Amino acid sequence: MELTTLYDLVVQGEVDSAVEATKEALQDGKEPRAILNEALVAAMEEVGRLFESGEYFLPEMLASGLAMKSCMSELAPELAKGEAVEPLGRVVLGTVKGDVHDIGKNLVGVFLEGAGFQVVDLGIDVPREKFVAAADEADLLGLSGMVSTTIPEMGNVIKALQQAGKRDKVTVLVGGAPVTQEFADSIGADGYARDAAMAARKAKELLGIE
Amino acid sequence: MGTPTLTPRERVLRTLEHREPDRVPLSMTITIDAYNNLKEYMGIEIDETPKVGRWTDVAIHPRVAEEYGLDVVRLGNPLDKSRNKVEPTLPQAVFADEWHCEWGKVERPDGSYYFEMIKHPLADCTKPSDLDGFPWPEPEDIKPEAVEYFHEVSETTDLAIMTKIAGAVFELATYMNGHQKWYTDLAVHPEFAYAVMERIAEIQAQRDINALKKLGKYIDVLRLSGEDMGTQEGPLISMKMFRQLVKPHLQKVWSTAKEHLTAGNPRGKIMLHSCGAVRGFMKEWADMGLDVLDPIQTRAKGMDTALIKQEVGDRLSFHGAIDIQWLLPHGTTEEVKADVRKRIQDLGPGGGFIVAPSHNVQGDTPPENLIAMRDAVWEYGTYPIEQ
Repeated sequence: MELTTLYDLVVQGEVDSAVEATKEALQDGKEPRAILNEALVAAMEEVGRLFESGEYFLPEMLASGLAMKSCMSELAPELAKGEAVEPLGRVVLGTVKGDVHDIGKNLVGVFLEGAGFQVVDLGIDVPREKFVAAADEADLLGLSGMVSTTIPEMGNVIKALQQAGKRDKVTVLVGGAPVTQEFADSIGADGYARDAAMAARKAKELLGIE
Repeated sequence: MGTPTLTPRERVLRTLEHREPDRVPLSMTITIDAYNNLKEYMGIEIDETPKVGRWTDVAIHPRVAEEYGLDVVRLGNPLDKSRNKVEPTLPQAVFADEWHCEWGKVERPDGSYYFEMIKHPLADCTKPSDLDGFPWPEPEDIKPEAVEYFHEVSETTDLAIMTKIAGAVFELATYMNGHQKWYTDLAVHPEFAYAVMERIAEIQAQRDINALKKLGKYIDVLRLSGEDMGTQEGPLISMKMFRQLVKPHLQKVWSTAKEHLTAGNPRGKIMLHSCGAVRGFMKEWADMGLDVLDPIQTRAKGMDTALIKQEVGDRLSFHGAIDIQWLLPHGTTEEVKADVRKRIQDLGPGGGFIVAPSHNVQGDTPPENLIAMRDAVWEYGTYPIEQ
């Protein structure tokens, strides 16, 4: 099984075929790390590019994301046998209090994992105290909000970090449909990402990762 | 500012026929907190307990509509859903709908609240055959008192009457499956997705037939449903996917609705609500026989009101265009008036435009801004529109 075939299957969102291809690649003796980087991670970068260029839409992103995650489940035990893979960074994600929407956040999680980050997802309707507590174990906090009436809570999370003396210890990235760069700047966030692909790039940029 | 010469109903019907009336008409939908704030601000006391819909929205009382200055009154759904009553299964659910979706109340940090979906009944289904055992609702008839009520509003007010009967196809499939699952299913289980929408469309079309038989003659604008096809940044699905999987079912419902509406009211028009960056779909929808598009979310990508008027404004009318994501909640009254003026200049010429907020006015919107929106329509909306 050539890794380019697996790459194509993930880009095409062919979930079952991609999982079979991953199994075959492992059976053929391909290095798990190579499968991860050359097929899965590279495929998600291409999916992000296709989304940003307007060729892929939400269904295609989700199908490829599902393919990637399903293949990762096959790979994980093999990766664990080898040398520990140091994640690029630790990201904690959550949708802010008062907001129960998560599809955007979930996609961001997929792309961040695809890019090599360790991701902890606090879920939806997350109180600011939980973000503050999670900041101890995170390099980056990702705040998601889908509703114009709830995104002010992102500012409250940042204030709570300041009050707890943790603001300087963690990078804050915000996103969601009503969020803009202007809004992100007004609340003192470190960065804003318009979509999941941009979030992965922005996370690397903000953490100074190549 | 000219003196109005037409009744609100005639104003609305004329503009939707792409003929310039005396003035651009005004319409609005609103959530409970914003409605109460507006009534208090205007000193309107009415003995009513508005029923709060699943979008935390309320029907505006015709007296409030007239006093505020709306040209359109939206009457509540006339379908008698009592025979399809479903008890929620989750303890935190506030209500369940006839499709077995369950809704809970989510409190927001600013003290307002919103209803959100907390249970999706098709969450575990992926094959067309999984749908066979589902308790699909029987298409309802209208409430016994609906004819009298619609007749009364028609006779005692001059307002254009808008209502919604059936409901969505694509968006309902989203609710029944959950957003993430549904959008994944469209790509990964397309036969299932097609089958879900086929089942839903059949029920929705029959509901419209049942209701329009008796109510068609009173309805000026039939709001088909909310079929959100756009995000803030772009379409939710590709045109190819829309044509293959979604279009046949929407066409069925729209054609049925239009046929039965115009049988009762030859001047009646069908209106679709579709949020987001949907400019790419507009010509297709006009080709499918759509008369009016709501809500024209101007902050979404590509929703340039001057360009959309140019591209399709001669055959598609627009209802909305006044931003609720930033302008109405956070803008100054001067900013609101300036923006309303711009939208009137872009969309008004030749008729085919009704000013309205681009979704249900939320609880964070000051009533002063709603008054400013109305005043701007009166000040700048007289035909011919001054550029």
